[in-house]
Order: sequence, then structure tokens, then C-alpha cells
Amino acid sequence: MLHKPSLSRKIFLGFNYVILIGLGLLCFLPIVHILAVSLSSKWAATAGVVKLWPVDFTLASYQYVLNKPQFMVAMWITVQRVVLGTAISMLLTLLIAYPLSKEPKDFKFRTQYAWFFVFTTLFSGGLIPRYMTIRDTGLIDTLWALIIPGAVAVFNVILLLNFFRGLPKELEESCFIDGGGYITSLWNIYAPLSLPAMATVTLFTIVGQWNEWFDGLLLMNSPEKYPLSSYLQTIIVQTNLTNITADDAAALADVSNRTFKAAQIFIGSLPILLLYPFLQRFFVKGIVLGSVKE
Amino acid sequence: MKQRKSMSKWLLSVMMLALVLSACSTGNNGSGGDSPSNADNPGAAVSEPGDPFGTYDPPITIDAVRYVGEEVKFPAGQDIKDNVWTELYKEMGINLNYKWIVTGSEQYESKLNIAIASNDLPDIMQVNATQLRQLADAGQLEDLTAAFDNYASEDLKMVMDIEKNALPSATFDGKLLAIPSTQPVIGGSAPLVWVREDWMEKLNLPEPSSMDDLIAIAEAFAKQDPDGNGKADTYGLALTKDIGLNASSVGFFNGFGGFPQIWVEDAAGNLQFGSIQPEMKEALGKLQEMFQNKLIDPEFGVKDTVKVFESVTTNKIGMIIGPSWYPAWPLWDMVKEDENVKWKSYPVPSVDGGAATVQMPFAVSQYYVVKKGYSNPEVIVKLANLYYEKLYSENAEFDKYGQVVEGDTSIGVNKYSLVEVVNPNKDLIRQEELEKALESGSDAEISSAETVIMYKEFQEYLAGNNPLGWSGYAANGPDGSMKQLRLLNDEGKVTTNAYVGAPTETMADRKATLDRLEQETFIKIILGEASLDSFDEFVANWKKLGGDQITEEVNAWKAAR
Repeated sequence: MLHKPSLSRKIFLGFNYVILIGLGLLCFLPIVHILAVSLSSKWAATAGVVKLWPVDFTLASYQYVLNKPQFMVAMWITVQRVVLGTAISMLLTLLIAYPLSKEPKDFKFRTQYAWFFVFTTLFSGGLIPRYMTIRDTGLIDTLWALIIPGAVAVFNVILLLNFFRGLPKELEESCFIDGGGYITSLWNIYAPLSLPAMATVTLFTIVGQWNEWFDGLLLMNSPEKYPLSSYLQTIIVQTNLTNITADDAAALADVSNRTFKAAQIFIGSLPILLLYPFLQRFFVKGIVLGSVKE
Repeated sequence: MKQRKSMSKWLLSVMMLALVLSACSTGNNGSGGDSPSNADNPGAAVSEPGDPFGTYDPPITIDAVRYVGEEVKFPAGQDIKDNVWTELYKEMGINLNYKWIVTGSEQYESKLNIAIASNDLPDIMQVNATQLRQLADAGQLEDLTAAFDNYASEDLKMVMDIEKNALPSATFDGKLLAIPSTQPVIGGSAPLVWVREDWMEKLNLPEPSSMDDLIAIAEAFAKQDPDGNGKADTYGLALTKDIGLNASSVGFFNGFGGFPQIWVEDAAGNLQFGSIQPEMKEALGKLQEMFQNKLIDPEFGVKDTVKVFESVTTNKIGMIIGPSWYPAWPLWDMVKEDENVKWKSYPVPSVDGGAATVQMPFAVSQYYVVKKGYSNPEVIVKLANLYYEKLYSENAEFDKYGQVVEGDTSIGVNKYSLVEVVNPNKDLIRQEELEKALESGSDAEISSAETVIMYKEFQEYLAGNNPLGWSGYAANGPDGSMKQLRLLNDEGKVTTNAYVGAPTETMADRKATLDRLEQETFIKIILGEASLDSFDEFVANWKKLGGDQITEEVNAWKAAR
């Protein structure tokens, strides 16, 4: 027999939907607005009449962006850093999380190693020492400067480590009985079983790599080497108008075009938006599994 | 229990290790780095007068850093590392090696701060006043006194002579440590009142000849439906959130005799901070009244300049106080869409009628410096010579190094020069020459190739062939905004910051806090959230929180000159 929801439950559900839909719209509407601005004429965008639907529909800004070499170059650099960065970061995360998930009787200095990693989440050298380290190791101005310094995300290690601990030990023992070593156990037992957790961590890493803009500005020596988010930052931040001369004004008017900026922001966020639906089912499941089986 | 103890021991040792490591790295940094070049004998090459445009043989290579404005464009086949200017430098035996390049001046500033902090300086660089002070105090800059005396071209000396404070502002303990980048700030910053002439005609309003007139116009624009759409959706006067920093409010204060954010001389000859003078209170009172009267956009507190431009171009606001270049942006965006829109500029009126004295910043906000120990410090002087020579002197090649036309866009290639030293009066001279040329119908008297180009644009515009010329004409034409500034300047009604030194010690410490206090107080007063009398409280707090000390330092600086 189906349970008939009580009135109070109905009210609760009603509020729930309203609040969740409201929150959803808060995230969704700005993107729609940016899309609408990017598809409107320059006049309509500056006039502020564009809300959620394009006014004076035109694809001119997309034409401009796709013909702008710098945008495409930055996009390519971001793709490279995301692919390389995620692959390296995931490999390292796995290789660190697996031994750390062992008991001290199996891995003698486990606690000390764990502290070593946790320490880096609590203290950091600060901006200047970080810059100097990267400079002196010769990474500066290369793609690797965006990948290597942040390759081990301790938070992700802890997430995966806890997931590993939740897996039954008997599985690994069976592997040892069949003559496998730790490496076999990691690749053939742990890695396949923890796909949901790894998908979660991968998503974190991809989004993090995609969005990180400051290291590009800091570590790259010319704008042609900026990843997309650093490049977008330079075009969106408003030029300081207090110190300009009369001759600069006309040129500045050109670059203040909002539709161009909107088109670049929208294209810049599109790939990551498209990624979410594919990884989301892992994302939900992964978090639940990781926490319940603790 | 036992485990926990051993864990804390480990933690301790890891922390100590970290400490030792970090100590090592600071030690390294202090002694290492650029010691080899320090061994050279600095200044040996510059002790005698030399050729201001002399070529280096063998060529020298200089490490430099720079920013490129977001608006800078390049002709096909050129980029910032390879263009007409770098070619010119090469001909002189100067090879520029850019250690890094960024987009936009703000990014440049922060990246340079990191370079300074990590002792990673290039041979020559552009710095702001704070960075100049910092580097000078740390003894990291080469003395340029001899280099300037022996290598500066006549033109460069002339420019430095026009802005008498330029060189002193770069001089520390009698040593010239930087070449100031002078800029024509009068055209860039001095405020004028821009009014919708078509609205004025429609509502039959008189010209703004006193602050009361200006407020009456604002009231009419807000209440009498100037756009004729039957809705009360217009405001009288544009205002941005940066009260006292942006021309929209600075000009208003100037009308009441207030000079926010600059140092002014009082009757006794002492320097006083403009923001705390009683004239400011009077102006703030008026703004408060206007806000209550709905003459000002209620959302002004969150609107920056570009947002306010949008209100202006969408016919929401009919009056904005701003610099001479507004015709180029944002007004041109309106005029090209709707030929009925008319904008006209007036000098900022004063309370008692007539034109008020308006303010502009110091003509130098950027400096060019040479790292201590660099063997050819005079090269920075030569680069400055070259900039002026190729663009504004009798031997200028403006069509090659200043502005080139590719297709139907003109590209300002002058922006590729590493060093910019501009005649502070350039805008005024240009307007005067254009006006005379239009009268006589000949460009024979025009001294600069840049102005000749503009003269030709004017002729085409007046012949009706070049609608784009409107903005240039509205600014530099015979009735243009620059003409009004030129007349004001001739009457001595343009004032500037009387303190032109680097930020003093207390300024470096406290100015940011004091500025925030000022901003908050002013905004609250205008919004009516604080009474007008809270201004007195602000003045008392300002003095207490370091303002008095800053005033002392500033006056000590003045006495020392």
C-alpha cells in the first residue's frame, strides 16, 4: 500500500523544490545572460537592454573570437595543461594514497609520511618563495610550471586514501595468495574498484586546472603562453581609467566591447560545462560511497 | 599514547627542517643573484658628454620587462618583440631582451613587485612612485645624474624643463635615480562639464555659469522628462562610486573649491591635504541634497566609470563631469547612433560664478630606472631621446614610428617604444596649432606630424566626408573641450598636486587606510546614511590616524627643497 504523504510533508517538499529551483536558477541565469549578451549587437549590450534573450541577434562576436589567434592559442594551452596535469596528478595521487592507506604494521613510517603530506596543507612558503623555487628549478615560462608544482593535491590523496581503507582487505589477500605483489594489487584490485572515487577526484582536478588563472600570470613570461583562464582574466579586468591620456581613449573604447568579452567567457566555460553531465553520475555516487563505507 | 608522542616529535623535526631550509634559501638569495655585474665599474662610460643618439658598437643587449596595453594593435608581421621600434633600437646597437611581458598595467605592477621581492630585476624597467622609493631606499638603482647631464638631448631637457617637478621627483639625496615619464595629464584628467545640448534646448535651460546653475540643470534633467518618454527615468548628474578619485566627483568638488586627494598650499604657504578642507564639506552637503532630490542615480555607489558610461549612452543621464577625451569614449557611441544627440562641454563653474580652478594629477606617475651595476646606464636616456626625436622633433618620422594606416584602421605604433616621455603640454599645443591652421587654411605652422594628420581629418570632417572625425573635432576643434582647458590653463586655473615626492613613510603605512576611511565617509554622507557633520569627525580621525604625521612629513619635504 502506498504511503500517502501528510500535509506537512507536502509543504516541506514544496519549499524544498522552490528553494532548490531558486538556487539552480541563481547558477544558471548568469550563464544564460552571458550567452544572450554574446549574441547581441554591441549597441544592445552597452545599452543594458539584453536580459536573457539576445537583442539584435548577431554572431559577429563569435566570428571575432574564433578569428582571434590569441584566444585559440590560450585554449590549446589549457587543453594541454588539463590533459597532462590531470594524468600526472591522478597517477601521483594513486601512488601516494595506496601505501598511505596501509596499517603501520605493513608500512612502517606510514604516520610520518602522512604527516609530511598534511604539513604542506597547513603551511606554505608563500608567494615569493614559491616563485623563486619554480624559477630556480628552471620550470618558469614552461608548461610544466603549471603542472608540476600543484601535481600532488593532498586533499585528493586523503579522499582516495579513505576510500581505499573502506575496501575489504580480503580482496587484497586473495591477490597475494595468487602470487601478486603490491603493484598488481593496486592496478588490478584497488584501481578498478575505486573508479567512482577516482572519477570524483579527476573532476576536481580537471576543474581546478581549468580555472586556475593566477599561476599563469605569475609564472609565464609572455601573454602568448597564458592558459585560457589567465587570458580571460586580463581581458575582463577593467583598465584603470584614471591615468590614461587623451590619445588612448579611442583605442580603449574599442576593447571595452562587452559582446566580445561575453563570447570569450562563454566559449571558455563551455567545455567544462559539457564535462559535468558525463562525470556527474560518478560524482554523486563517489561521494556517497566514500563517506558511507568509511 | 606512545604513538602520539612519537608523532609530535616527528612533527617538530619536520618543522625544524622546514625552518632550516627556508633560512638557507633566504641566505642564498641575499648574497647570490647578480653579483658578477656588480663587479663592473659603474658609470665609467658616462662621465663625459656623449652623442645623445650615438650607436653602440659592438651592440649591447639589455634585459628589460614591459607591459602591453590591452588596446595595442600590431600591423601584420609585427609583434612586441619585433617591430619598427625594436628595429630602430637594433640600428643603434641596442638589443632588447624581454625577460617577461604582460598584458595591462595592473598585472605589470604586481609582477614587478614579485620581481623586486625575489631580487630578479632586469637591467632597465618602468616603475611607479612607490616602487621607485622602495628600490631607491634599497640602493638597487644606478645613479643617472651624469648620464642625464651628458646624454640628454635638447628636446628631452626642454620637456623636463616644462614640468619643473619631474626631475626633482626622481632625485634622492642629490642623485637622479630615474628618468620620469612625463605625460599630458591636462587633457587626460582635468575635468569639464559635459551636457546634453539637445536636452538643454528642449527644456530651454541657460548655460551652467555657476554651481547653482549646474544643479538647476541637473534638477530639470531629472524632473522634466528631457527624453520625452513620459517616464521619470532620467537623472541629472552622473556620479561614479570612486568619490574624490574619479573626475565625475572631482570636478564637482573643484566647483566648490575643494581639491580631493591632492596637496594644496594654504595662505601661510604650508601644504594641506585637499580632502579634509571645509570646501569639501560644502560640496558633500550639496551632493547629499541632490541625492535626496533624486538627481543622482540611487545605485551610483556600485557603479564604476564604464557602468556610468552605459547609463550615459542609454539616455539615462544628461550631464557628466569628465576629462576632455569623453567625445572619443563614450559620447561617440551615442552620436553615431543618433544624430539628434548633441553634447557640449563647459568649464566647471564655481560657486560664485565664472570658471572654477580644476585639478589634475602630477604629470609623472611612472619612472624609468636602471639596475645598480648595469654597465651602460646612459642607454635609458638615449631611449628617451629617441622617443621624442622620432615622434615630436623636427626630424620626426611620425608616419613610420607613430601611427601607420593598414587597410582602414590606423595603428598607434608609438606604443611599442619601451620608453615614453611626452611634452606635458602636447595636448594644448596641438589644439592651438589646429585652431590656427583652420583659420589660415594651411598646415605650414604645425610643428608635429601627428597634428598634421589630425588637421587633415578635421578638413575631411568639415567637408562632411569623415563622420568619425566628430570626436576629434569636439575635443580639439576651435570650440572643443581642449580649447576650454587651454584658456583655463592660460588663466592659471588648472592646479596640480603640490606634493610630488615619492610616498612618505607614513603614507606608505597608512594612506590606504585613510583613503578607505575617506571613501566610506563620503559615500555615506551622500547616501544620507551619515549626517553632514560626520565630515568633521572624519577630519579629526584622519588627523589622528596618521594624517597629521603625513602633513608634517610633506611639509618637511617642501622645506627641504
